[in-house]
Amino acid sequence: MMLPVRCYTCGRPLWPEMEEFRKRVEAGEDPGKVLDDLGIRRYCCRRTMLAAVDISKEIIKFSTRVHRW
Amino acid sequence: MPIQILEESPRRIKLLAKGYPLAVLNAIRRASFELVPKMAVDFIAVDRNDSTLFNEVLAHRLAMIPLTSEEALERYAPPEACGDCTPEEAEAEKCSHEGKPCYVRLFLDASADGKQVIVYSGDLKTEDPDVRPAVDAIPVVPLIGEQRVKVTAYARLGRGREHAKWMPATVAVVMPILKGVSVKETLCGAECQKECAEKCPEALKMEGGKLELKEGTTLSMLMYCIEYVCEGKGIRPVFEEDQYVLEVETDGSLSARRTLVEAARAVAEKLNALKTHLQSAEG
Repeated sequence: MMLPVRCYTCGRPLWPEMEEFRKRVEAGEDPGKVLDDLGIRRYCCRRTMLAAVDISKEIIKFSTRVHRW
Repeated sequence: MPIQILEESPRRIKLLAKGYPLAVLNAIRRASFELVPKMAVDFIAVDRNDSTLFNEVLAHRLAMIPLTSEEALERYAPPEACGDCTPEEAEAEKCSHEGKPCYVRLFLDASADGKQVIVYSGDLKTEDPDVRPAVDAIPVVPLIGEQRVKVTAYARLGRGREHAKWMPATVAVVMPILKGVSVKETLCGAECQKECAEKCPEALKMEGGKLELKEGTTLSMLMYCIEYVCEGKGIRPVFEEDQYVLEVETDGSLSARRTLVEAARAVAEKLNALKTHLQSAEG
């Protein structure tokens, strides 16, 4: 549910590029061009970056109660 | 036998090796995945975890963070000495190796303080400044409200064959160098070659009545053309003899150069072990 730390296939750490990628795509840039710009060349890493959806920010709102295990 | 460096940056190295057998280069390539040790979190002790992530998920995310290991390779005990050793046993000094410790501790203590925050890998406090997250911007866990996470992570040296978190290399490839194409005239005459070049302008061209390789094309493009477009017509790629490109890219825990050096050392150690084993079997 959180964004992946590494590319699922090759293991390349996707940060800090992921942060800039998401910022720029949300600002309306073409995702493919942003990936080229950031130097993400392999299609496994490009797939992981493109397809990752962060739902932790939505889910976390339902967990404001403090759990004690 | 000359080795030429084509490209080098801390995380990436590309070599042109002339005169080395493919088997040797492939052994080094595989060793850079499997046998080069690096640091990664192996155990976590959870004091408090109020977050939405389970302890196991937290452990996994912490383990995925690349930790700098250049200096740690000499200063910490090798994977063989620490593989079966828990942090408790290490603290009781049951498993140190030549006076070197097994584990390095990293501490994570973060709370949201009424806000919605994300804890980053940069928030990890390390016991040993030589072993720290190589990237500070990796999000580890989201927190909200009064939630708090307090974790002690134990990192040790390990090898890629044990778990992928100990693989320093993300890419290690040995590539032959494409020189041209050979055509069997009996299977593919002038007409057929022309047709092939027309169907596959990305990889092939006609020059002086002969099928030639187009400049700047790749082996995968050529093989696609050979296998799917000009199928079964006796066209084969031709490679430079005894020349290979070895390319290694790392995740930032070790430099690419260091990874290659350690991989070569690991292969040499294995060969030495085989040699002594054979000699003792003979005698």
